[in-house]
Amino acid sequence: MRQRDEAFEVFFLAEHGSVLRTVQLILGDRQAAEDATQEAFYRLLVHWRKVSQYERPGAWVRRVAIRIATRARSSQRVAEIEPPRSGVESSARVDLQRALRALSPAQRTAVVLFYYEDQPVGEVASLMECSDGAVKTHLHRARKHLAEVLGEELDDVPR
Amino acid sequence: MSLDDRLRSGLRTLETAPEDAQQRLAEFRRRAYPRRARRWVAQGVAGMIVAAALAFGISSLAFHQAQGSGGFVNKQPKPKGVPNCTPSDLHFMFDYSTGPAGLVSFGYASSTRPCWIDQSITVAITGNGFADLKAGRLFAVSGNNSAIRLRGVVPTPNADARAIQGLGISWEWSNWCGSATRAYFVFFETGKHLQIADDMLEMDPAPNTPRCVDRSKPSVLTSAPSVASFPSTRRNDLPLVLQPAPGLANPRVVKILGVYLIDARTLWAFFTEAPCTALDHVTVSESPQQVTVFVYVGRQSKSSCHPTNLPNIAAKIVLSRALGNRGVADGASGEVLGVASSR
Repeated sequence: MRQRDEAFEVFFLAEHGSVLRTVQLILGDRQAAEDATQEAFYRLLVHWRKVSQYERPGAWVRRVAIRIATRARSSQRVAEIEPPRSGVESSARVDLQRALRALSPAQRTAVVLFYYEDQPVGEVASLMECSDGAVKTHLHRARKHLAEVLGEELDDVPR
Repeated sequence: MSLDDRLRSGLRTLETAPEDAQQRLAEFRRRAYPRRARRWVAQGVAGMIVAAALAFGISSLAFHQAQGSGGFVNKQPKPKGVPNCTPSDLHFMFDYSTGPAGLVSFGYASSTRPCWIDQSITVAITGNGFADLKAGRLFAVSGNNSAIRLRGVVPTPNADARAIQGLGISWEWSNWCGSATRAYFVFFETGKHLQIADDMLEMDPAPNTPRCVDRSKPSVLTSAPSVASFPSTRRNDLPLVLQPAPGLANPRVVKILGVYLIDARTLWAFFTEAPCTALDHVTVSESPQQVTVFVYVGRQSKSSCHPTNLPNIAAKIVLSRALGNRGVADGASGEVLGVASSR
């Protein structure tokens, strides 16, 4: 195996899982998330010689995966709801899934990156390839909708 | 609990358990590395054609922005039990047949399983491929930049056939009276915002442009019938792995263009069948340092003769032991060849 493939595979082992989990939350569909993540890592493989020189190749593959995922979610079916676990927790889980599914692709992406990955607004904007203001708008609208659907009080505007 | 806290903790409950990363990597190797190797083969061929075109000089371009038009392969519902195609299932297929008009065909074959596709595809004709498309420089052709919906089951190809089964769509390009003699077809998903060349589906050169019939009338690109098979070796990136047919007349060694390592002991050697020749047999000379491959073609009978060069033909070679660190040499030229690996 050539040296750059070895380096690529080390990177793959380190990053693939977390990219897949994020994309799955954005898409709400396991198979579609696997496809999008696979495609993103394939593109990374093709451009590895160049991208591996970047300061953060992880951000590059995340950005590509998110781009593929948001486009896929704009054009594809709404995913099936996974079977509930049990009790109050499962009910809350299904409520959250339903609420997230009603968001636009951009709103859902912003919510996942901000709340799940705990990324600051600036980094979310970089990953979504839009402005900080656009991210704040997506988050504001998403939170407003989620607060209504989940019956929660709306807190302050996120940082 | 605040909304923010509920979202932070709630999203954690939706994530799935981590999977075996090594298993994921093994699956990725199986799909992505062969796909990249095919890309190299396709790029190599395209690069040669670009170089040849540049050697003959660059023609001026016309500029045009056209509206899309629709078309359907079929309107049948998706059959039960057929999975959706994923990018790693699909091979691009391309063909351009010339006559009074050019028939541009684009489609897919599936390397893994019959699968379902429903995709709207746009073709743009430019003089300099993706760069011109991105800059909005399209040939002045009525219907250029038009879309057709590709919908149906993508079959798995029969690699031993002279034609590869696939699912495709086509456009007819006629009456080109422009000065440019070099053209590229760029295929991309309709509505997709192309930012990098990798966003497009495929780009292929036209060997020539359609005949100029009437200068007073525009050049036209219109949707044409769907396509169910592609000539096996025309400008697609799916190699045709041929079974040798020993006993042809005047067998001779031909130059190998590249080698693809399928598994530890199996190679594909790529070559071009000249007009009226076909793969006769393959021999291998193995030493501890090197493997030398001799690909022989023989003359076909007139009744089964193909009149044009057939590129992207592959001969399968099974070694007596794993290739390991040994080099691979072309028996015709003695040159050591680059080996693209699937692993």
